[in-house]
Amino acid sequence: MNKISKEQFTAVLLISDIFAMLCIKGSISAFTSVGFITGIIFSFALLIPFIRYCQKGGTFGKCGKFTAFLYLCYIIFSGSNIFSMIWNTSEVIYIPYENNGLYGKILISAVIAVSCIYISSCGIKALARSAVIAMSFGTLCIIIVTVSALMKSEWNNFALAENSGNLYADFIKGCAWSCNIGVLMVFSESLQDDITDSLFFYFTFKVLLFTVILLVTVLVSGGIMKVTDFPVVTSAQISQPFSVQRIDSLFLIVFSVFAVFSVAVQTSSAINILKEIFPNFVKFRNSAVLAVMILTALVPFDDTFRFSANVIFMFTAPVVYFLKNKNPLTVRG
Amino acid sequence: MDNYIKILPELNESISKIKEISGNSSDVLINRFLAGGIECALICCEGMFSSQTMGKLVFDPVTKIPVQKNSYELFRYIQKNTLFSADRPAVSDYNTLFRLINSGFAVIIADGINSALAFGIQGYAVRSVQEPSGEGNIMGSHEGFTETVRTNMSLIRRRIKSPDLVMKLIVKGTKSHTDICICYMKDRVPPQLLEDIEKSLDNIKLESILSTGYIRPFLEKKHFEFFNSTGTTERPDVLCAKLIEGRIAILIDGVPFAVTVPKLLCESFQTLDDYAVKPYYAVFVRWLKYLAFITAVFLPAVYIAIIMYHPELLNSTLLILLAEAEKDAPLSVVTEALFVLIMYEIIREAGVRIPKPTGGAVSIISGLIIGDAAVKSGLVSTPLLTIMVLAVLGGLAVPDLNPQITVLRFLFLISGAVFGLFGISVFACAVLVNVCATETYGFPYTAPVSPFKMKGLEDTVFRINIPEMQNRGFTVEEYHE
Repeated sequence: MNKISKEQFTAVLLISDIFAMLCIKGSISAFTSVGFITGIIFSFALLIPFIRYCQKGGTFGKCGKFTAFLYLCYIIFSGSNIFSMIWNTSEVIYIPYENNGLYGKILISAVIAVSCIYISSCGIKALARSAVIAMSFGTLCIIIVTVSALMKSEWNNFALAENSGNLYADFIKGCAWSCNIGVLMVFSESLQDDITDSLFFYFTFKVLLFTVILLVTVLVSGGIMKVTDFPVVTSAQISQPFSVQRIDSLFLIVFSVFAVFSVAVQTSSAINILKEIFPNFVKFRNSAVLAVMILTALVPFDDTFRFSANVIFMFTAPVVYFLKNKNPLTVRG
Repeated sequence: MDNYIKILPELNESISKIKEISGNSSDVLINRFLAGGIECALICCEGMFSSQTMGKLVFDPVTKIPVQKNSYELFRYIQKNTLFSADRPAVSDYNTLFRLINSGFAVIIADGINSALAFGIQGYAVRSVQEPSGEGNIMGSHEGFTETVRTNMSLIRRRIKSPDLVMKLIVKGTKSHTDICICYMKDRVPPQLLEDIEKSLDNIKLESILSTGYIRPFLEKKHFEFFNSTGTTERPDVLCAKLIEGRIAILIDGVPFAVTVPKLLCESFQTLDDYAVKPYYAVFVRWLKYLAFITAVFLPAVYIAIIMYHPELLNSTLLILLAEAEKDAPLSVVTEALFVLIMYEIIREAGVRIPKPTGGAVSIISGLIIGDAAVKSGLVSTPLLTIMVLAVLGGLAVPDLNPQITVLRFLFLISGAVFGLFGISVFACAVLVNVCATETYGFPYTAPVSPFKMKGLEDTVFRINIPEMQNRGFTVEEYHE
């Protein structure tokens, strides 16, 4: 039985969410927080028909090829965003060969991709079990960074943290991190616990962790937000707990582990959908998904475009799902 | 399938058949005699039975049997009025006859009857019960399993006298006819697990079973698992503890180890001594072993990664010290590390395989001459050697995982040398998923950590008091998914 618990479901989703947060580029402002809260409220509202559908025994699986294809595009696009984030953030986190331009990018992606090909071949259950351990490790690291950051934080940084000047970009950024509905709906198919309970558990943890990370980032880097490219990374660097030993390496480990799991989660979801659309395409399925993700990531979209596209996918995918399944509240055989 | 021929009723023909099947083997002994006025033959295998028992339990009573009408009456008389031995299986074909005589039984065939009588009078040379060589223990029993399955069964029975302990004997190996004993507590074992294991054992069609490694692949999943999802032990007390927790044990004749199913990762860090000392000390030792495992696998890789890619992690004193030490080394730090680890593995393997009398000489050569000379000649730096020795010692603290630690140490070292901490982290993710994918018959190897079971942490992260444990009523079924 390939079923996962609500804790595993939460860990799988949170890992991608937190990784996206670690890689935030540009300033974090009040508008970012508003965007984040709006995103959560909207995505939850859009998920209500799906939740009711699942409660009546329905699953994501039988949604038709068109809807499945839309979700596949959404998830592959999210995966490409993760690769793009890895490349961007590796500028401030030292990864060997990262400085070698396109060759460096491809090499880093290849290492992650090889690992993800193996991880996704082990199945959702193994991924979910390991995600819990990785998430626990990540949470422990976040607690260490938070404690050390709080000791170095200054409350007046709240006032110093200003908007970037582009309110739309700040809002959309917050919205884009709020929920990855595509992965959520795919993984909900494997849930053994009640979907409402599971979503409540997931969103509660997510809000809690995001609040802590946002708070610490603003408290530590609020004053230098405008000159900081990666505020979360900078706040981790500034708030190192040791006098000599650098926390960057701890952060690099968390970054790498979360990067691998984020890509693996997207890959596993995409593979699950691909099985529905092309059941005969078995060989090289994992490699094909990852190759498309990396190639999409190489397209030079700017960040605002990426976030906007992500938000459009996020809001339209559940609507299309609802419309294509004319009456999703009635379970189809 | 010739051996499945029924026992022939005519004695001379039967003896000829036995000689034909055995190829006139010199160790098959056939003694003709008269019992109750009927011509009989006693078949046994040289060296497999006790001559003293044979004399007392078989020959003495046989000579005193009064005259009988026919062979059927004779066998009925023997069955009713004599007690040759407690173990008296029925024999109706030559296959069973040979299996029994080769297991130390004496078989009587008589003229005019198409069956035979067998008597367990085993008396072959066996190694006595000795202290286990691989699983050290201070406070517990010093008895270990031997090569004889029946002795091993008795070692378990002596510790668990409950009638709930079931021991089922089956025979496997088309040529070796090895006795295999399936042990379990019938009130504790998950019924589905028992059924699944019996089905898996049914799939064994091997010619011989000479070690636990022959049957373990049949009990484990087919896809690649780095860690073993079945365990082994050479201690009857450890096995009893596992049986009481609802696990199933498989004993193999000729092998002084028992296979246990299911196996969890946390078991590799538990010893019986943990339950003989105060909980705080047991917890300390257990965490020391977790640390030793992490050190054994990651320390060389992290050291290389830091030296090569992340020197900012070190404080200035340590950095200068390491730089000074590595300055004069003729080889790169990765080559040095690989050299030291490969040297250690060669010495270890040689230590295991060489004859005992030469062991001392090898220790001196490897430890003093090679080790000392390598450092003095500047071939290997002292800090690197210290790190490698620490890693090797860490691995020895968890002997159960030694094969995995050895290979992982090399793989992590290479990933650390090529990609630094990033490489180590990415490879660690793949290994973590592999460990989490490991399971046997629905029992996840990583339980109770993931899937998380709060109750299970009482004897993994902590070690609660024994009086609290008695109310725990734990069985391994709680981990089933």
